[in-house]
Amino acid sequence: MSVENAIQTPNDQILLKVRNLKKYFPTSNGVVRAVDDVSFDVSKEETLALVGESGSGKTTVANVILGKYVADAGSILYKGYEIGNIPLIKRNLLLRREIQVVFQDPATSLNPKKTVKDIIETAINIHYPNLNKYEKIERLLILMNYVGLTEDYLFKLPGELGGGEKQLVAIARALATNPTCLILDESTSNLDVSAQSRILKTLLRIQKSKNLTYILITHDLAVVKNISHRINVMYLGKLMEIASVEELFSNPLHPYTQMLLASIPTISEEESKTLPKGIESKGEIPSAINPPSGCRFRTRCPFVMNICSEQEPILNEVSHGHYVACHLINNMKK
Amino acid sequence: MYENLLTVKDLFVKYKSYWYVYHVLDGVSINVKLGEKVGLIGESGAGKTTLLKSILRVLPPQGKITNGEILYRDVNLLNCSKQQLLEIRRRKIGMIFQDPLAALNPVFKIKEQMLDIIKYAHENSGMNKRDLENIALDLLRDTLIPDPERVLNSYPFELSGGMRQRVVIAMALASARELLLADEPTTNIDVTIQAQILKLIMDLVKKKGLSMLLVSHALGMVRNMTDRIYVIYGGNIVEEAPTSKLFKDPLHPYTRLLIDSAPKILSSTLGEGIKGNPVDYRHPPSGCRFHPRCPFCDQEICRRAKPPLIEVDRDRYVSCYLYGGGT
Repeated sequence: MSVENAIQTPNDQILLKVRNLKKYFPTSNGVVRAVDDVSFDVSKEETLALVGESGSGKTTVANVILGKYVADAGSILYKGYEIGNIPLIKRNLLLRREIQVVFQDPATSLNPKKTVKDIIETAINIHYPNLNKYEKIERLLILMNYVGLTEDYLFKLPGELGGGEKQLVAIARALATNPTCLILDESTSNLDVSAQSRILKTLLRIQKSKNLTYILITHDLAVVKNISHRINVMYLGKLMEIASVEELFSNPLHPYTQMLLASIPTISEEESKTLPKGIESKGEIPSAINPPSGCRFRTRCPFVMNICSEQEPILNEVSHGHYVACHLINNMKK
Repeated sequence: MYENLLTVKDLFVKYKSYWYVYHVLDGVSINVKLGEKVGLIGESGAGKTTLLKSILRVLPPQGKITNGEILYRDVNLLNCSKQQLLEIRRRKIGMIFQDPLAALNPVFKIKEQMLDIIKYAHENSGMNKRDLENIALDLLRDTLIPDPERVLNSYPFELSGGMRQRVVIAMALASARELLLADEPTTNIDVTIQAQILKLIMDLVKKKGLSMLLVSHALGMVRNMTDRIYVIYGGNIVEEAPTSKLFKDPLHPYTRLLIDSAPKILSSTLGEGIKGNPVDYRHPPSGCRFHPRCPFCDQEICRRAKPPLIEVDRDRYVSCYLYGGGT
């Protein structure tokens, strides 16, 4: 089955098409295969979660989409235009406006010496230089209103804000350009649960009113369950499983996905019952310089077979919209 | 019945900076009984780490303990002799620090750092260096590190995050013969490795018969590892309850909101979160420190006087006027 046929999203409104994406980083010890042949789609107005341990290549995928890195091979089609080979510096304002990002740690992504007004206004100035002073201020206030910050915050410095409020400023700054696609790179993992839930609610509300597409990068599966529609599970630069949220949580097929789910610390008995049992987390993610042959997960997999070290499993559709790359599942199907 | 191993009574700690005084801990009392696993949960900036550091007397120089008592068995750590304090730090209490990379010195090999601790933990036992090295290897083996010899001869940056955390746990166990203090042992670690580390800590605590005080903001993790929980908000203990009861039926408004805001796997509705910001310790709110953020605060008394910690049920204490305690 060709990849083109294999990875079809449930609906055909596709915003971003990633095909056979590869990104290698040469180091003195060898080549780090951060992203190795990854293909997936992001449809309009959906939240796609990229899930995996650190070192699985989630952030590299996002950085290639953002243009921080240029793809070594493969293509990224955004609304039908190839953007994978355009570095950020060569991207025009129109394209930059479309895809924006919110980073993990708001304390380091906001300039500590600039006020909230300056921070958001910089983005407005760059992208809408033709607006006059009053229109800019109006825009600024609308943005702050969107994320739920009052005018009192205009002249505050990031240091005077709580972690959640800082992240709201970062979101307002990202929205300043009227983006279509927002990449949330671990945007809530540094926050306390009380602030996190406020951010997640704000994100959901904005998505509905502005019809945004989110690419959510995280390792917190409980967050994923609450705000995303589809999940891509990545491991060591490869996609292991693609499924909708309901499907993945009720019927996880790949052993790695099951391991991830079994590792979630739950807050009630009922929750622990719904998670898969019996797959205990063991080992650590191997180096991406010399990844294991065949299936990359085989060194930690409890169901490893002979074929796993010889042949790389391909991403197969097992049911509608549910793709798994595992020999075990493929054999069972036969 | 249980014997009290660690008792903290009415502890006040403040930090001084050039301009301000930060009134952080405001009359905190907790106890850890022998063989018990106790959790302490709260948001960042609630004073959790300050409490742990006060127990070991390793507060930074600007931190001052102004009032209170910290009893380890029957030794008061606040006015015992230096020798007694060192004895307790070296042989009784071990602490797992929050950030394994910061807890390890980057310019020394793991071996040197571990031997440094083991040397004092086995002072006057007449062991030579070879014996101490064997103890280090045993400790590393306890933490299920593959190839402990190699780890012993590596620098911290040569190890992965999970391995570093295991080394830090091994170092804590070198001096923990009775009590283990764990300060957010799995922040910045992937969920799969987190599950491994937590299981490891549980197994080791059980195997060595330790008591444990676990500090964290991750609710699920504390639930799976402890018998009893203290909830701390803004330097006050607001609720104390057995773990199972706390998660089933939280009493204090703060605990309720906190558990409600944790993202759940079963339902896909998000909690409201808690409005407002954590306590500004320069000018802490009068009365109940949670009242500016509390949705149930309608009594004048909340603003006037600090609610006492009262027993509302067997083993359940809560500090809130909703459950009485007012006049």
